Amino acid sequence: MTKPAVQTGTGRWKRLQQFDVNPVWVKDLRQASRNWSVTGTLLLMLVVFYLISLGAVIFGEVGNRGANYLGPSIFGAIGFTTMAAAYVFIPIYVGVRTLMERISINADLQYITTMTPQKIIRGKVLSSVYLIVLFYSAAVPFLVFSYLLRGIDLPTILIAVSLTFTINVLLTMGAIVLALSPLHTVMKILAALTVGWSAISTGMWMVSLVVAGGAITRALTGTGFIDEFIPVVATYLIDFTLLAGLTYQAAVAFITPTSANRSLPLRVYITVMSGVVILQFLLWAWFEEEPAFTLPILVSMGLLAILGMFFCIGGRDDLSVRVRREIPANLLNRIPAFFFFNGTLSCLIWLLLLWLGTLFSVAGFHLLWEQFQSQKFINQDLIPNLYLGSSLYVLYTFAYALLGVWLHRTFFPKRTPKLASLFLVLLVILPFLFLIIFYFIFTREMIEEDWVLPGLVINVGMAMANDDYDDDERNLHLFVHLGSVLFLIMVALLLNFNWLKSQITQFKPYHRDERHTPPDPPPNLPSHELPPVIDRG
Amino acid sequence: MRIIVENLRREFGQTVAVNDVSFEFESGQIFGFVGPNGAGKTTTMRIMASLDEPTAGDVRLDDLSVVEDPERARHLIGFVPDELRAYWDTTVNDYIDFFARAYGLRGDQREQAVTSVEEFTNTAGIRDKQLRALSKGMKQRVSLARALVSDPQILILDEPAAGLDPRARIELRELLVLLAKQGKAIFISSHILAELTEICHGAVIIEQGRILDAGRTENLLARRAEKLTYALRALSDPELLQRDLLEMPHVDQPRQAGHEFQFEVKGAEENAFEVLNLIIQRGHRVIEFRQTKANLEDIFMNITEGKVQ
Repeated sequence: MTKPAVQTGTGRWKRLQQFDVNPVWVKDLRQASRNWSVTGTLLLMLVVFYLISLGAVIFGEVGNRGANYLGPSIFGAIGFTTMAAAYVFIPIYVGVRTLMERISINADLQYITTMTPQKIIRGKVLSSVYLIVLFYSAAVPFLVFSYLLRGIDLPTILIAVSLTFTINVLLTMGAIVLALSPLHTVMKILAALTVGWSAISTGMWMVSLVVAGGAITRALTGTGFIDEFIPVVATYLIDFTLLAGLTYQAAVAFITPTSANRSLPLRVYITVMSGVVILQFLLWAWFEEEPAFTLPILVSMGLLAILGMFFCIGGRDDLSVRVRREIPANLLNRIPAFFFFNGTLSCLIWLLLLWLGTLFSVAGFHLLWEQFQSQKFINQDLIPNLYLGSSLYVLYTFAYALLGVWLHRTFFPKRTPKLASLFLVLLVILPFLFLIIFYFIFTREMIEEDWVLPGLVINVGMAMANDDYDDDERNLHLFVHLGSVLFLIMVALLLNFNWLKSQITQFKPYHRDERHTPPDPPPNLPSHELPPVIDRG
Repeated sequence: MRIIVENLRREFGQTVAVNDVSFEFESGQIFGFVGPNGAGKTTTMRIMASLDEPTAGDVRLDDLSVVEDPERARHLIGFVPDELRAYWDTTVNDYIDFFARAYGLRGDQREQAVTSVEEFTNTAGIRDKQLRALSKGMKQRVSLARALVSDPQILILDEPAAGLDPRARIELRELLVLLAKQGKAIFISSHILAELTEICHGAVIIEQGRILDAGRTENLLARRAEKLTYALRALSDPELLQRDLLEMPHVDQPRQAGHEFQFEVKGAEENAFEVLNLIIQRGHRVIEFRQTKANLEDIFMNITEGKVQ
């Protein structure tokens, strides 16, 4: 009876012995340990720490003999140096390395091993986190030194470091995503500069907010610990996890071959994430009794839908054999699967449904608010502006996206599908630009803000921002746009009829026989000779 | 194992890089892939290695489709590209070890596999050297070691001999012959056609994305050789011999090449026998008469036009 137990134990022990860390993690760390830039930056950072500490003690003591509270200033200087090194160097180092692996048509051979894309990205993230830990651990002795000099407490140090660390992880994961994204290298650099800079400055602002004036100490010891500190920390942790998950899923999707069903995990994740974010903002709005918290939901989900549609139509819209093999045979399962599988139409409709879901969530919340809260949710006259105004942007993008697809498929079917995304942008800008130019040429005047220009999405913004409008005028303007965008969508759907049909009909399970056609014999062979393909030697 | 390439097609925008390519070979065979630059060789090989996806067609390893199930296919395939990718700060041993880990080898099994391929490819002596410090020949060996570490059944090599010195080429050739004897199916593209003739069991000739011919080498030679070339050494006056050869039936283009004469004989081998008889009848003292083998280079020059896409 004991024998199986022993075998199980041995089996577990063997499995434990066989356990191996992620190969990419090992490779990246080995490379980092041999890279002079990592060692050089780390040493430079330590030298600066040493000089700061030495300088602060020598010169601080002289100038501040009475107060003796050097902790905050040393903490600030060391923290800033750590952030400057880790926020800038690590994302650039990790991003450039990842980019080098993918830059040529012959992508690095690790991508054709049996490792899954998830495993590769996990390895990259793990090695990046390890590098960040290495940099922060180098700073810890100096931060402890700042605590010994008084003027700053341990919880503040702990929370500031945790905050900085998590932002650093997000920045580095963002760098991985950007390096793997199918953008041109120049675009990647521009995006890194703009997104990176704003993320770094936001991070620094958040850390300074936490450290300044003993805010953490007050939050921990005061009455707001349960009501404010815990919800804020919980919200931050949830958002950090969601964002880290999003970057992970995006990176995985970028290295997954286009022939695989790479949309599925990403779309499922974004759907769940959207639900959590909406719920989070609504809870904050409810408990803080602040309806303005619903605005970020509409703005962020609207942006997601618009950007998503822009990228969706730039991808391939035929389903590969690998994707079709995964399509459920059961019709009931196949219908929901359609929205999450690869495909341009499925992506457009999925984004439209996400937007509808957002609108219904906010509207449902609105109803609940009116019933249970004493304060007004929103001025009655502004309701069309809130729901209709935001929806018009999404609907116009949907219409332009369909027209972009039609232009590409009709006139440039052999060119890259990215042209469809370009057409979307041109449809937004060019008609409005031509109107302004021609009107100016003929009248020497600019167009008026209160002009109703159906079909032009920029005019929606003009109507919403027009201060001379009363609510009725604005609402009328927006309803005209609603009519025009619905008409545009109808036209685009009719133009795309064949494409829509093919998108739907191709979504059926794959049968091997469809592909299996016997190879043709090569030309110019005598009839009695075997064609090379069945040349058995 | 049988590797079957079926009606492969790959389009890049309006360019058709590979057009309806079909051929097959099997374990234990070395198959050459011959064609001018831009013929579609690398594209075809990348599709076979699951690095690229065809617009149409399939590559099957027995019943396993590389297009439908690339993850499983990758267990069976080793791919050696024309150059080693940028791992400038990695040692040879770390590089091979990484790929052993990437292919799921664990513990002792991994260490054995790494040591074994290092010994096989003669890279054990440079295991601690960084890749950037290696010569082209050594890099090619490391690349081969990387491809072999997972013990694949199929080896796809894209121009492995390019830039190698003669010794390195001979060593690479010997390694490939040894691997084929071990039962691996080897598919190799090379510009050095004479070398391929010596080691290949068969070849695929491609131009402008289309297969011009494919099959076992002897069949290719038999199909394509309209004339057979012969070498003759005789103790006679060269001028007289050349004059006689020019007058003989079936003989074409007699020319002196060093100590011997070379000429082509049209038609079947019986004609060559007839020519030899005539030479002897005319009093020439023949000490050597042999058929010179045509090679892939002759076939390649014969059937390709050097067009690129």
